[in-house]
Amino acid sequence: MTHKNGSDFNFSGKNINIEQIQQEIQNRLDSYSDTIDEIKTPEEIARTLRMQMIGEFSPEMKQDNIIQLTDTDIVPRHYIIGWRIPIIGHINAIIRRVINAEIRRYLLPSLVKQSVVNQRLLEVVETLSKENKQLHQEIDKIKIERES
Amino acid sequence: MTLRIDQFYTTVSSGDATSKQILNLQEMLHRMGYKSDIFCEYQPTQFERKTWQMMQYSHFANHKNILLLHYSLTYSSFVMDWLRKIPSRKIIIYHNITPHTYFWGINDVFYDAAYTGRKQLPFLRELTEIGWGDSQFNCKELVTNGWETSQVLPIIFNSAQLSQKPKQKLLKQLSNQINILFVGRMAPNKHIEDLILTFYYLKRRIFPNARLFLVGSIQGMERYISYLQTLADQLNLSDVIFTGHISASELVTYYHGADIFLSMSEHEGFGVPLLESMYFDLPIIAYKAAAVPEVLGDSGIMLDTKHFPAIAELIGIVLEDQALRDEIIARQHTQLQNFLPMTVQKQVQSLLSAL
Repeated sequence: MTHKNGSDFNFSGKNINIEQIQQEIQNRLDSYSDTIDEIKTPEEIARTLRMQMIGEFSPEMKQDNIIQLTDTDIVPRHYIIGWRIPIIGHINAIIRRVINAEIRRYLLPSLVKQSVVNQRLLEVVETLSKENKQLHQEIDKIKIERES
Repeated sequence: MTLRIDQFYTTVSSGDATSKQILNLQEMLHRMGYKSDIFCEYQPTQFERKTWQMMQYSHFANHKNILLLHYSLTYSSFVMDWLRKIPSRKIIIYHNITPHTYFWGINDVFYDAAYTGRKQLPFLRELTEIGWGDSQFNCKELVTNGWETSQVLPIIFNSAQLSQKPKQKLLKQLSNQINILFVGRMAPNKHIEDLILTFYYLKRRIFPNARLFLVGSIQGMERYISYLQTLADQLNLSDVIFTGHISASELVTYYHGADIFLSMSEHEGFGVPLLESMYFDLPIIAYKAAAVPEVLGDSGIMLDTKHFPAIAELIGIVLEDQALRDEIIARQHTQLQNFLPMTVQKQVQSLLSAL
């Protein structure tokens, strides 16, 4: 179905009288005398807003990751000490939890600091890498210009 | 000795489709007589008794046992190294990865993980002997990434997970108005803005008292949500409701109280809420993209194009025409049978016997 504003609308469904429904939709759309009277259509508002608030992806913006962002975090955040064996398991878990708590108290501040440093370093390295790529492209461009 | 078929996933959480599939699959494997445990990189507190930390898998790692690797985002370098050392027969179950471009400007961590996840696929090919996907759409991507063949292991629909009683107070609030429902993570690939645009025409031209319920986690998507809320404000739509992550009984209530399930998603590895809508007799109107046509089969209404005023009229017609609605619901019921545990169990049996 091509609407009078030039846009298409198609749908599918088994055992459904598609032609009849499409005609009904067409009739209903034609019956609106008001149309949408704003300066911008809702679709345009959505597009503009998206550009303003999120921006649009450009393939040049992505390059291969040097290091995974998730790998920069070295803090063991999800270590669970549980037990499934009755009695002995419970005692074993308590002992391991006490040791774990003591080690964490000693190590955690350093691990958190190191994770922050890792993340910042990754950001710096990626920015430098991106700049390097751009500079290489510019050098290649200048070379081509000089040769021609 | 009984053959073990264990499963690995980064972490198991409630409300996440992959996690539900892992738990359902474990139940099925137990029924079929296999020993099966779930191993995670990050063992969740909530599922502490149902999961094991991945390092404990070493007791079961041998050339006979099978380890199913559920893959839906990315594995850390630690997991990749660990997998290389494990002698067990490994099978990837691919749930698909949202293309990274969707997360541009929204969430750097998701962007990075999605990008890396897809780049990791060829490496996983070297580690696994076979690939399964929960839809043909996912299987095709495995084949593109080097797997010779790939078979479908569909999502198991376990109605027991939706057996909670609806919350009466909330159900009462949902009555006497037209409620349009969408369920899923509030992620940019779901094109929530298209739901809002359709809702704009529906509310302005057909049902002034309609409400749009957007049910699903907003975690990590705050920037996208901010855009969507601003859009709703600028269009003067006060009845666009973001519920955030909700309990299972609240979810059941929304399904009971809704009049139509509308999806504009452009990337779905499967689409569990479509099955849930089928179960709750909710007519589905969904954009035809990715795995959606496979999940819907001959049921529901699939949109080939996005013409928002026309989609709003279509919703109006479906809600006005009882016979049409009944026909859609009947077909959806038939389609749902393909995902019931007993049907999927036969497929799992056949996949395992082919190994």
